Amino acid sequence: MASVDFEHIDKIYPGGTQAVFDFNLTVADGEALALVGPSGCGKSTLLRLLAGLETATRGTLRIGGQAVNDQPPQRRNVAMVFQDYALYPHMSVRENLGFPLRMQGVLKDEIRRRVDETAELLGLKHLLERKPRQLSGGQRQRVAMGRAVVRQPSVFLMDEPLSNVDAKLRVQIRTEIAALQERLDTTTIYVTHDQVEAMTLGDRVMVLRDGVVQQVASPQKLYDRPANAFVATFLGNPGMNIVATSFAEDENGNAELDLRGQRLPLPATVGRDLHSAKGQGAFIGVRPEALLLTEPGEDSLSLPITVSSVESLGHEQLVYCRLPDPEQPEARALDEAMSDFDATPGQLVARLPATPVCHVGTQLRLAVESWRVHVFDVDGVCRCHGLGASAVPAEVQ
Amino acid sequence: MRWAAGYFFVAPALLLIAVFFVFPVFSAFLLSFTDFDIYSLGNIEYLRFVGIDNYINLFGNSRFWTALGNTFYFVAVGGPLSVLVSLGAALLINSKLVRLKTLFRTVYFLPVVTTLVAVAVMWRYLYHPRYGLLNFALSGIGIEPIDWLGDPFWAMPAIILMAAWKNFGYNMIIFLAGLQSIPDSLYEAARVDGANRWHQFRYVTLPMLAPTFLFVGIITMIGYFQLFAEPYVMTQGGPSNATLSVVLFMYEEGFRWWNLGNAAAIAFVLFVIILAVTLLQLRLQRER
Repeated sequence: MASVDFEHIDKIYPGGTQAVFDFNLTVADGEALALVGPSGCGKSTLLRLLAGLETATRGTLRIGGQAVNDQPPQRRNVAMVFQDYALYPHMSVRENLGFPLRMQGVLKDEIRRRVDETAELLGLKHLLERKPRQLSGGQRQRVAMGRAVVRQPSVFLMDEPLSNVDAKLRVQIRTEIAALQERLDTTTIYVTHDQVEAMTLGDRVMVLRDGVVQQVASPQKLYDRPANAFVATFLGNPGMNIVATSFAEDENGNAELDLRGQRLPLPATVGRDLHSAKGQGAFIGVRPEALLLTEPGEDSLSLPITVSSVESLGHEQLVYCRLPDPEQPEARALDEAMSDFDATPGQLVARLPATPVCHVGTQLRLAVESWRVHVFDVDGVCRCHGLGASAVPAEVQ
Repeated sequence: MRWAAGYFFVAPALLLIAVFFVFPVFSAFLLSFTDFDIYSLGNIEYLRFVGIDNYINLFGNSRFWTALGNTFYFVAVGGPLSVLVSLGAALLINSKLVRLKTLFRTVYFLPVVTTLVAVAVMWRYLYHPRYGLLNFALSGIGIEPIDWLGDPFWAMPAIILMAAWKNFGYNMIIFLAGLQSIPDSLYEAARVDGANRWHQFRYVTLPMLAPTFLFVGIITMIGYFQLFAEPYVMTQGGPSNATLSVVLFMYEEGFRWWNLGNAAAIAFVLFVIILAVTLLQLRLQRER
């Protein structure tokens, strides 16, 4: 059991590629942290740095308060579950599980006892004498977990452990891992590109992009209060809708946003702040489930859209729709900037109940309650959650 | 008649196998029960069927036992030596610390593709009792010159050394392929599990190379049992039969003395020996 500290970590690979930029993070003892991000964002590198399979170019790594930069993997007491499991193919399940203990010089009887105990815990008892190739994918995964659990390490590292398991089994094993982590209460760092895994397995989730931390927060907070447009669009399936808007002023001279002629009031401080950058406009973000097929209420906006395609999922439908093109040239210019956070200009996705069925080409109005609208500046940084009176200023990261 | 079409299509291949494989092997087998010699070559009517006399004579011939002993010596010492050198070279070239890997791989493979006669000339210089590089080096550390190819005790080791040098590149390439097929993640897992370099070699590299070892072992053993060219070029079986191998003995019987019946019998005895040793090796591997 131990806490983990990354202090100003840089990692530059021999080829000159920098995978991690001035990375700082503290993982508390017993905490489960999920590292999530698109491929190539540096999340696996961080894990490998901690395991000792790579060395940091700059910065200090601490496990349980001890700097471990110069320690080889075998002295760090971390256990790692690999993406391809990396089971020793010539050893039986029993030998695989016992290998780390054997390397530590644990006595034979003790190895036997602990392997049996771990096998019991993971339901591997009847498989102990088999070779890895005689196991199914899910069983192999469990053996890989067992090999990490058996040595009672101070930190668990998991590198996309579910990516080689089929979809149905993944849900089951995900639950098992969560239960196991809960029970063992060992500090765990879990790398994944799957946001659902990250949300379900992490006490806290960290979103990483191009080696730079975007946000670290509890899963719910990350979803409800994204720090920027990248996090907003990365989490959720489909991710948050982002729409370009331009600036306007109300009769009192306060800054407002103009969305296709509709005025969106901003909190005074945010308005003032954004206003200094007037002319550039801002983005608003709306989760697909916040779009409703109802009459707009008192404190709602109403978006005129045309349905461009419909995906029926049985219990609900994903309705892809287009907003009319913006009239203001500045909003149009902003559209161009949107490719940066994985959103298509003018396109919205709504998660609607299965009925009434939407048809392609239909013109509809979708309502959004204003507290469910997020405002991002031109750089994609979130400024406030909600509009007007219901607005909550975003935390500055 | 559906089967007829199938046979029609495989007929050319079967015919080639029959003419160039089954027929020669079968006739050689028959030959080993006759006294086929240069006279029978002139007139087939001199050919006599002698039953298993050739085999009986062979087992009574002390030169055959000498040749067999020498061959086993060569296989037992040269085989493992060659395999170990190949493995060592492959490990070195595969190391992450080594630069110019392609160059070294090519250089180490060169002897394999070089003509044995050219190699032999060079090695005869190296082994020369008075001017040889080897003796020169030994004299540097105060060891008396050795007549490598002229001393019955040293002749076979000299042949073994040269054969190992000439052949290790071939097995090295096979070992390299074997090493490169071991996934990196296994080594990483082993490191995280607490394995040091020796442990990684002992518990990951060696077991993962087991199939390669079997293949290399059998191929090398079969090749080494057929030792011929090295002693033929370097020593002609001497001194005092110290490097006479089974195949060299067969060659002499067949093409120097024209006792082709005898030569055929030797060939089949060698075949049985190789088959037996191969099966033994397969069995040992499976038990492990």
